[in-house]
Amino acid sequence: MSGATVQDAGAARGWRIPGGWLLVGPPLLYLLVFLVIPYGEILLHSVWQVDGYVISRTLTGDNYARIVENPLYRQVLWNSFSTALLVTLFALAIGYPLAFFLAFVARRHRQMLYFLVVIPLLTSFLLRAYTWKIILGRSGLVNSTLTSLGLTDGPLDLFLYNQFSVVLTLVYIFVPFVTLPIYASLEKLSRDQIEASLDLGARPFTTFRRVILPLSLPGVVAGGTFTFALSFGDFVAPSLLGGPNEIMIANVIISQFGTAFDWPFGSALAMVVVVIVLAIVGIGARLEKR
Amino acid sequence: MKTRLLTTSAVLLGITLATTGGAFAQCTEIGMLTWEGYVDDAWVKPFEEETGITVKRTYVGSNDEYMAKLAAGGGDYDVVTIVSSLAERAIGAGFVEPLDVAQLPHIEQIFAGFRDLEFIHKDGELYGVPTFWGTTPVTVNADVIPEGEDFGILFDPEYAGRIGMWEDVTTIADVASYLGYDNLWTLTDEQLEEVKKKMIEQKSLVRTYWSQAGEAIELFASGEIVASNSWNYITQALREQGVNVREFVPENPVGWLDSNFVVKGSDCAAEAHAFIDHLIAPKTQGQIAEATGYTVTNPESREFMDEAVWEQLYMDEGPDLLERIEFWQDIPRRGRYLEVWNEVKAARQ
Repeated sequence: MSGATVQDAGAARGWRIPGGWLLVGPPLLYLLVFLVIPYGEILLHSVWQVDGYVISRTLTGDNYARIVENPLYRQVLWNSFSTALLVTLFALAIGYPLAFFLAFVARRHRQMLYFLVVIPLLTSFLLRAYTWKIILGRSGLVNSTLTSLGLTDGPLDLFLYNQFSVVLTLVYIFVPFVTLPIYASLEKLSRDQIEASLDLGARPFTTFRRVILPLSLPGVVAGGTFTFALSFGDFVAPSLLGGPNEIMIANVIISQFGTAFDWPFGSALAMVVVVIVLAIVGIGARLEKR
Repeated sequence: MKTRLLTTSAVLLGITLATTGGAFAQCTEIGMLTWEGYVDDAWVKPFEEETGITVKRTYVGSNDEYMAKLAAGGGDYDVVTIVSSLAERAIGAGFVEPLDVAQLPHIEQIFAGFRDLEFIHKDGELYGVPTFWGTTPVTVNADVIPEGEDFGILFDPEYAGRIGMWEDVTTIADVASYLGYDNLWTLTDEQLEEVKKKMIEQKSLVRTYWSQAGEAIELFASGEIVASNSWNYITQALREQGVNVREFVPENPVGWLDSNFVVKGSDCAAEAHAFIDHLIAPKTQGQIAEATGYTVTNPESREFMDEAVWEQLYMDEGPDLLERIEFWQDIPRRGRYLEVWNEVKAARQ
């Protein structure tokens, strides 16, 4: 208590620096401990190399050369990119109407619906991915329903262990991530603008296209960027629900830190991912400003 | 109470005298680094009661963790269980120390083939005591595939879409062995290309690759797959669930072997020796086999084991199988092996 009083007195006399540091200090410390140091470590490791179970600290560009030379890594990065793109597009296609419905249509039940959108976020990612495995499998819900309706002779393999199941699961997981920011920007939208548009004779669709959509773009960009970056780096869905072809860059990185015991090479791959994701976030931020 | 204390002291003294040749350095507690389930109370308690030495167990979740813990300094542990693929590295890195065979009376009983394995020796000295082992067998659904004992089942188009494979570098060795190579852990680039070709060819038959035992069990139980290279434990667990599975060992199987070592600089080396020896005693080995489902190294354990278990664990084939088995060993080019796996997965047919 007395400390605060002294502080205030100091500030009143124009002696502001300690108070300022108190304010800036924790976030700076946070940035240093959770961003600067870890990323710096990864950057450093990426130019080192491994010798047996020892990491030797001699500078080398070999790790990056290996990524460029072996077409494997381009293929795997492309897998991640295309999966992330598909997931983002589908999540937006589902998330936008959902947010629109929440913001403009649902009136009485809005609270409850909002809660329903958010509630999956309270369950573990792993559990939700796992649930899809149960739903889509040979003896799962989809197959048993189809068979009991007489639509198929036996269980179909095409629902699980392929790109479809991976994308479906990720879309399901990321729909709340796009819905919430879009809802937030729609919610902020002033009703006067919509009414003005309608009063001036614009048809509802034109109003949506020329007024609502442009004004909600920041939400779309935020949600889309989130989804893209997170699904780009996902490894759970491909390893749990992917088939023989589903391998994404994060799966490769993880195995460098475990099985291969090649932290430097894993770090170099991680740096590539960081650069790609930063570029995407950068583009997103630029779009948002316009 | 007083008499009991006296007896314990006398026993302890006896052991100390017997094992250290009279030097008075006795420990009442030893630390052991191992997998959970490997050192059960069922066979640790009798040792503790008999000797008065408490065995403090620390469990480890992965092989990489072992190396990390040992590298961080072995101070807390006296005995460590190390799998064949890491044995050479652990010895080379100086994590463990040579054993005094005179303090291991039961070592004479274990299959000679195990005692003579190269990777538990260095400069003519024995470092590890082989305690139990297993193969990577092929597990199949017996309803769908009632007969046949050929690794080629995993490449049979008849089971297209019903094949599983373990996503691990060991599978590379399994396939290499099937292709007839015998340098499984030191494959050349050309050989790795052949293995890769074979595995890419197989992809159209594969439902999915699994990495945890639990996943494989579920894949079999839910009917997603009918055959996979696997672990003895997986077959065992499926049988317990009532799934009609059978397993067989390929012509030249790949296997793992766990041996116990004394940690470098242990202050309780004599007690550590006593415990390691206890783990290969016939009665303990029988208990281990029954409880874990792993095959053991001491054939004298037969009388302490159910006859069915004895057969299921290939104990009869022991020495013969040992000739054909390729134990997991250190893979100098581990990174390249893994890359082959990733290339298989990323390949577009």
